[in-house]
Amino acid sequence: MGGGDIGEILPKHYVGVENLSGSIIAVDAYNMLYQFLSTIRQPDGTPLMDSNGRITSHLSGIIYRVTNLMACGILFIFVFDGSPPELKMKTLKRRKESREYARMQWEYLREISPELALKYAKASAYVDEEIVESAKKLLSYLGVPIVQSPSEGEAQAAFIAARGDAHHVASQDYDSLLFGAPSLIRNMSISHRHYTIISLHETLKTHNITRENLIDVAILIGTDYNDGIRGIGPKKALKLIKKYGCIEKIIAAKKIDTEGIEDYQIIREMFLHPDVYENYEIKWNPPDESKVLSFLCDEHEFSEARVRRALSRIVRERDDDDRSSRDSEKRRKKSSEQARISDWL
Amino acid sequence: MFRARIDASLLKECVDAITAVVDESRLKISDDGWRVRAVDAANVALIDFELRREAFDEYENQTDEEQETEIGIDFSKLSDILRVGWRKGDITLELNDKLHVKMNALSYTLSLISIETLRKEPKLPSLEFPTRVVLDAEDFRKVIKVAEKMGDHIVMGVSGDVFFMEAESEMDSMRFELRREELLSLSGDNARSIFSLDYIAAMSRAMNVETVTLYLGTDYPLRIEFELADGAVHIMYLLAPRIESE
Repeated sequence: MGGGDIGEILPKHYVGVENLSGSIIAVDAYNMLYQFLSTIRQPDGTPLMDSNGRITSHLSGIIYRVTNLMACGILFIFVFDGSPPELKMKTLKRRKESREYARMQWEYLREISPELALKYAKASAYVDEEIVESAKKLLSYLGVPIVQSPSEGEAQAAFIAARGDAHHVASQDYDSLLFGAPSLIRNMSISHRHYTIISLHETLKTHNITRENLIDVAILIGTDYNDGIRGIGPKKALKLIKKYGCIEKIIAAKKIDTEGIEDYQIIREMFLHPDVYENYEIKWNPPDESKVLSFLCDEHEFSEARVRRALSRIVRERDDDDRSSRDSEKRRKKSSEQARISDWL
Repeated sequence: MFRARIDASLLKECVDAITAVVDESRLKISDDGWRVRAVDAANVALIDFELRREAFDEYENQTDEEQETEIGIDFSKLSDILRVGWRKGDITLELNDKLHVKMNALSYTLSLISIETLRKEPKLPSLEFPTRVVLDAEDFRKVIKVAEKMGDHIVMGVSGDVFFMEAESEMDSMRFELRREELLSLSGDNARSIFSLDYIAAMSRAMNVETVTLYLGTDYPLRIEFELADGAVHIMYLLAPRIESE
């Protein structure tokens, strides 16, 4: 997880899906696909697969969960990672190792203790090229725009939102705020229908700091690109930055050991001016039902009835709107009389 | 002449909180900030709304003779504008003979409503509530959402150590209850009143906050209070109950 536990110092709001109707959300696609892969699994931890052994958990997430949100009036843009920055290699290597360890544990435990095995199965989830390609295929059939980032997907998504082409960035990580996203939504991939929203503006105003300060706080705690300083948590980091202004001055004043933040200037610069494409196309198309059906049902053996039902949600959204307003007119029944405020004057 | 800059989404939340009760209203602008106190046309709900100047990023109030300027605003129109443009960070508001709303490159001029055509600011009824409940705003919103599917009114009350909300339709019924230890606070006596869901639902949609405070009685109005922007925005609703007719 990038940003350590910086979430502790970010003011959060909780909103229901109805508050997001009409908003445009730039999704950190790798992050969401990872969420689908790790959570959509059979009870023993095996991901969903077709009979050719190809993983379909992420496709299931897209066709059922994403379309569900689309039916609530949310417009999505999926932003995919390019090549990771050099500085992230250490983190990626560590993730790969823990994934491989988890995979071994899972295979060893699945016969002995399915409950314990599930935890490891989730930790072994991995977004590979095949997952990305099939997700892109399905999204494009659904008419959802796809944007490629030259580097970090979160950075590109943040850029799109900061420019005003999306209202929020959806990711589990907090990094998009550091990249300048005005608003971050967490828990988007889960179907519980209430989401955490963090506003960059509010965060900065609450602590009376700049985005540069927030980035320095994150670097002190540790990010995907550095380990952070041992023993410094979010509250302490915030206090230090508020007192001294920036990492340079902390180092000068407190003579702290810079182990874990050696590259702080490069990292800060990367958050402030990440590698992004300034030209991208965002266009929503109506879903191509026959392509979705043949891709999911013929190629990956999804239930045709379920896929059709999911599709009908996004195709007939308009008719449903009309019907629900008729319903609310119908249900008028009085068993009590309305009093007036003036009765208590 | 008045000029201010404010976060777009905060302004939108504020305007939505007002339009839960009234579309058009008087707005009082002073050095302390904005104030709206209004009742809806049916005399059922009252809003007392305060947006303190701390909530603004910039705030310039240049009134010559008086301390307070009073203008008439169509908040539902303002809400429509903000709904389209709220993605952009800040909004600049400028008042001369009209209200100029600027969101980045987009600027919108909203004509004012003559104050004489608007209802006078209502007096606050003097109410003494026997019961006070503080709960998670998310829970409250969710229950209202469910209740809306059932019927047009909701029963709210306290019985012993339990705060409850109930709704029913011809076929189905719903009950939500939280015990004292599951609430943030519960004090006072037993209470039970019925309220129209149309009003509560509109009010709850503006409640993008963590906690909400309710004041209740028996066949008595409901007072709802919550704060936005770290207390710089204070919203209080009063809602008259429905009295069972039998």
